[in-house]
Amino acid sequence: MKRRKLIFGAIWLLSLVVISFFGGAVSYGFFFAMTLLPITSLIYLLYAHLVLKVQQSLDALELVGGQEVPYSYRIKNEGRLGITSVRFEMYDEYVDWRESPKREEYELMPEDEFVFTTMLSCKYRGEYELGIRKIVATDLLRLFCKEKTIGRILRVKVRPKIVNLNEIKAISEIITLQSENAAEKTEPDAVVRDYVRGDSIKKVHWKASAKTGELKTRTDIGEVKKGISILLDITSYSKERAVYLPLENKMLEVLVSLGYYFTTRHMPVSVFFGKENSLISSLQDFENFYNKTEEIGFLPQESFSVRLQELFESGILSESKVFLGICHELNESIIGVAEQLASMEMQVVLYVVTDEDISQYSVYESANIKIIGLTTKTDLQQEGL
Amino acid sequence: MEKRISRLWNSFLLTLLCLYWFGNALGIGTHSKTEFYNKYSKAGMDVTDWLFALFLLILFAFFTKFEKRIRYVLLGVLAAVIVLAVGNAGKEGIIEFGQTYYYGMIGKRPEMFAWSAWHERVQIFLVTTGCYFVWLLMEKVLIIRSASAVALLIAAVWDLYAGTSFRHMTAVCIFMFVIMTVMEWVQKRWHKTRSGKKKCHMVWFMPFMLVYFVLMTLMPMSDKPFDWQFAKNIYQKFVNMYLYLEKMFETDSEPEELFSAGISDAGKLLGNISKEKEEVLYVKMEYKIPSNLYLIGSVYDSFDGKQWTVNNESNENDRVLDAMESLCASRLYDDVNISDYLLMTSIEIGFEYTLTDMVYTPLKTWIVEKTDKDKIEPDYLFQKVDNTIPYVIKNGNMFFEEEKGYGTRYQVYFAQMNLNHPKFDEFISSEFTYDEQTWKKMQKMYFADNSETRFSLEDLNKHRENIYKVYGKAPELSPKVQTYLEKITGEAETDIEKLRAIENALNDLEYTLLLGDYPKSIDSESEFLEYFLFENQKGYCSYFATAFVMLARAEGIPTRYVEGYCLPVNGAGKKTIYSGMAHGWPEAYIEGIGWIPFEPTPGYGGMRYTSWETQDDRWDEEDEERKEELIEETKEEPMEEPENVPDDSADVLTNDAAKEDTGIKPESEAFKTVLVAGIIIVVTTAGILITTILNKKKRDKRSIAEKISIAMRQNLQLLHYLGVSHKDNETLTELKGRIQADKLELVSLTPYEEILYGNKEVNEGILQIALEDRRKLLQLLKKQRWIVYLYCKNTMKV
Repeated sequence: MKRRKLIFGAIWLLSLVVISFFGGAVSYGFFFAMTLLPITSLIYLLYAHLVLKVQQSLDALELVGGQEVPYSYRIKNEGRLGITSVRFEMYDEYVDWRESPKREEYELMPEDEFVFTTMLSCKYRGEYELGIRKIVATDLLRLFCKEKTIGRILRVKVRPKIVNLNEIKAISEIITLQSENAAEKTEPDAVVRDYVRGDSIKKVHWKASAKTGELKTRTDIGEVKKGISILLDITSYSKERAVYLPLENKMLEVLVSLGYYFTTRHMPVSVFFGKENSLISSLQDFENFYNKTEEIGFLPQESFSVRLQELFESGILSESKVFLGICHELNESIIGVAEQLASMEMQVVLYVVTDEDISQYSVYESANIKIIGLTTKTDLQQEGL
Repeated sequence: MEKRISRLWNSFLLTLLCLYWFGNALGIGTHSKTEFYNKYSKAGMDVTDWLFALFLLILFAFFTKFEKRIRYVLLGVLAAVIVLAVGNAGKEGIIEFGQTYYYGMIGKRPEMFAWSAWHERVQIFLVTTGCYFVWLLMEKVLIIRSASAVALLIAAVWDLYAGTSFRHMTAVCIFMFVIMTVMEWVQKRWHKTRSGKKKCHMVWFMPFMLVYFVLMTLMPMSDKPFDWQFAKNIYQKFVNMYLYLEKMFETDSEPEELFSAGISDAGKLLGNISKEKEEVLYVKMEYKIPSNLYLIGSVYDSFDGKQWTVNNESNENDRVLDAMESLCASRLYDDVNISDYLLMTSIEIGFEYTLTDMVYTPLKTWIVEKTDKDKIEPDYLFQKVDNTIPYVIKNGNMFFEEEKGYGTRYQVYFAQMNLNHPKFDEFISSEFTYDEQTWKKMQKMYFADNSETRFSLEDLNKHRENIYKVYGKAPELSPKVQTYLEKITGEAETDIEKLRAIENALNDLEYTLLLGDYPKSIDSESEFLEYFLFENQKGYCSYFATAFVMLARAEGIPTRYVEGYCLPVNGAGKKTIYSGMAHGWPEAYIEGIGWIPFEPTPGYGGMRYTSWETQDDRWDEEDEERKEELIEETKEEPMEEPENVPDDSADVLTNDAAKEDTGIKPESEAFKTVLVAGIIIVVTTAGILITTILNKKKRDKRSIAEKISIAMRQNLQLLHYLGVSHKDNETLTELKGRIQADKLELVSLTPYEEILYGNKEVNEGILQIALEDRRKLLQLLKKQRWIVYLYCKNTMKV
């Protein structure tokens, strides 16, 4: 269209030259023929936008990343004259289409209607728009077009995708040990009470029952033993959506996938993000935590290394056997804390979500410290953690 | 239905194009003019002509849609009209009617066979019918249409150069046709998702094209090229705004350093000045003028030792009166060879980057009016229009009513003086007295409105009295200056000789722009003269002019100080005047003659005194007798109006010199029309031939299967024309059943079914069956719809 506009512009300028040197019907006719074209086009385009009705629908507005949902739009010409061309500009930077409507251009006679249906899935966690962004009508000569924003924009909330991990390679031995011990309770220190109808048979303390001759039920006291800590870096690294959405999405995906993995293996996990923390010891806890993830805000003033330092100094991390850090950048401070944790017989794994090369940090790896690089496009299902 | 509407619209456009283009040559529009039509168009076509053409096209486009009864009625009406017309005209009338066409074709139409209203109707019918069928052809073959559009564009371009001047509607129709062809072409190549048939979709966009067509029809068109006056006005406004702001921020203080040369409101004598180069004015001369130009800006009368001021209270138009006085004197002196003394001419003066209300004119200007480009032309003969430039006279100076800036222009008519020629000196040394009759006759000659009474003799006398009063006051000279004056004018007897003597004396002093500070102690005329003549003995134009004025007045000769611009002139055309060309000079009044300029500034004599050859100078001694004879002859003739014809001496006179229109003379309209029509026919025919050849080649390359497929489709189309259309979702068997029910002769559709659904192998035999079917269907069609039959027979080829 740009080329056609240039040609039209050149011809219009030529008409100015012609009327500057020649009088008469032909020269003025030429000039007005060129000058009135954009005016007529404008009238046509205004009419087109007036009579064009567009509706779009999505099955759900709260989605999970990667989940396919049906999407459709309907376009109708409610006027008495034809519309030569209508096409759409879509919000599709963060969407995967089964069948993209991008290239469709419609000609609508009076009362004509077109319906387009497809499936789409959102790539990233977050809150953003999808579907039709603008309606673009083009004139009869394909010279000019007029855009109009659609009345109702579809805005969705997308939660991060949960990847069902088969294993976490980095800490597979430790995890096995942890899962074996997960069901263990502290026997001599257990508090028992009389069995009440409805108590779980698994909670019956057989030794105490044998001793006393009556059924006794074990009662857990104090905190459930925390074996795994996860710290999420919630620093905002960019204001550009195209940069921060994939990054945050991947980091959260790692977080929820890890959380799900441990939850399904009955391993309690303490998750720290910013000033907040969550203890996930059951599926219900995980569900609550998962619902919270769509509200986790990444802020520029947050710092992973600072938060890590705080947690370390407070002694919270020392109660864990495994520390998993999910961050975007590494620095000496983080490495320092990691080394200190490793020296306390903790297994430290740092998942660095970045598209840059982090091989320079491989020198800090040891038996207890693992640094794993992930890109925003890493398929966790295939490549694992 | 959409197809018919589309056909109607496009053929109507084509018909209008043809009617407006060469309708005149066919006599269309020479009759039945209505008031309504004349208001909007200069062409002769009537609204009824449009409606008649439209009616015919509706008939053609929808004829087959009408019921049989209505068709018969329409045909009957047509036949009745023809019969009535023939009956009314009679045998002789019919023969004469036919003869008009014969004579028209051979190009020798005698006057008795003028086009009549009936001819007009027949012409419109023929043109409309032709256009309809041409459109049918174009509809089928887009290439013909494209070729026609190109041919029309070529014709339009040719019109620009040949100046054949197409009519407004012709041009509108040409561009509409071209735009619509381009649009069809764009739509055809545009890949879109459509619901309906592609062919008829253009109909639904027609209303917008109708809007476009109406707007085009309403647009004004002029025979002259567009002069972009509005753009010039906008630019002018911006420049003037800038100049105005610049002037607003100018300071009043005068640093004692370099000043720029230029005209100011106060005629101050300054110290150092520099000549800057800002474009101030321009002058446009149509013809070469022999002398350099001096443009008067301001005239001053009183000097106080430091600066010149204006104390003249008169509001008489001194400049015009002065011009009249001089012209009158020259006529009285030598009516035959007036151009030896005064050469009447005119120039255009325009403002560049200046903002002022001064009207700059040369000496001896008698008319200030609009330029030719700005003049208002009378709508009818003898209508009086005022093309003068409004100005006011204040204190002897000429001003516009308000400040003017960039873009201001006006024409001045003035007389150049043959200064420095001995004959001119003789002339200004003579004495003249006027009577009322001579005075009136003079004005009649030189004012376009033939006004005899613009200025009375009493005005002239008042003008003279004022001059003596304002410009004649003699200064008080010191004894030293008085002695000096007596010394230089001692031998002079006449006023002219005295003035020349003063001029020569001052010429001997030194010219310089760098003078140092002007002495603050000088505050009288005599102190100035003392300083300038004896102490400093150098200066620039203002000093010399001031000294001259003082000395001349001391001799009792009214003299004035003038500031303006001097421009060396070398040939005709446009010359720019820069601020550095500002100049001051004196002018002395010679009673009976008027103001005469002098040039006391050293180095400027060559600028001022450029004379031209008189008639006498051109005569040889052998031609003395001949000259005397001529003088005798011309003495018998009365005073003549100023002549218009220029001769070798550039004795060119003013606004009456008509320019010949040297535009291209177009050949006969009929020839051009025929030529353009011929181009269209040739291009169209070539297009048809090429298309036919290409189609034949394409057909030859087709496989049997393709041929059968095409034949099948064509047969179904023929069935459709016969009223049996293949419905959506209907099988061929069901269609065959309907055909049998309608009792049409059986056409074999079985092989089609076997090919479509049964994967039957195609062979030549099946093709022959299909062709036989087509033959039968065409025979049926021939009986029922003959025109469609003709069309199908020629276009349906396998």
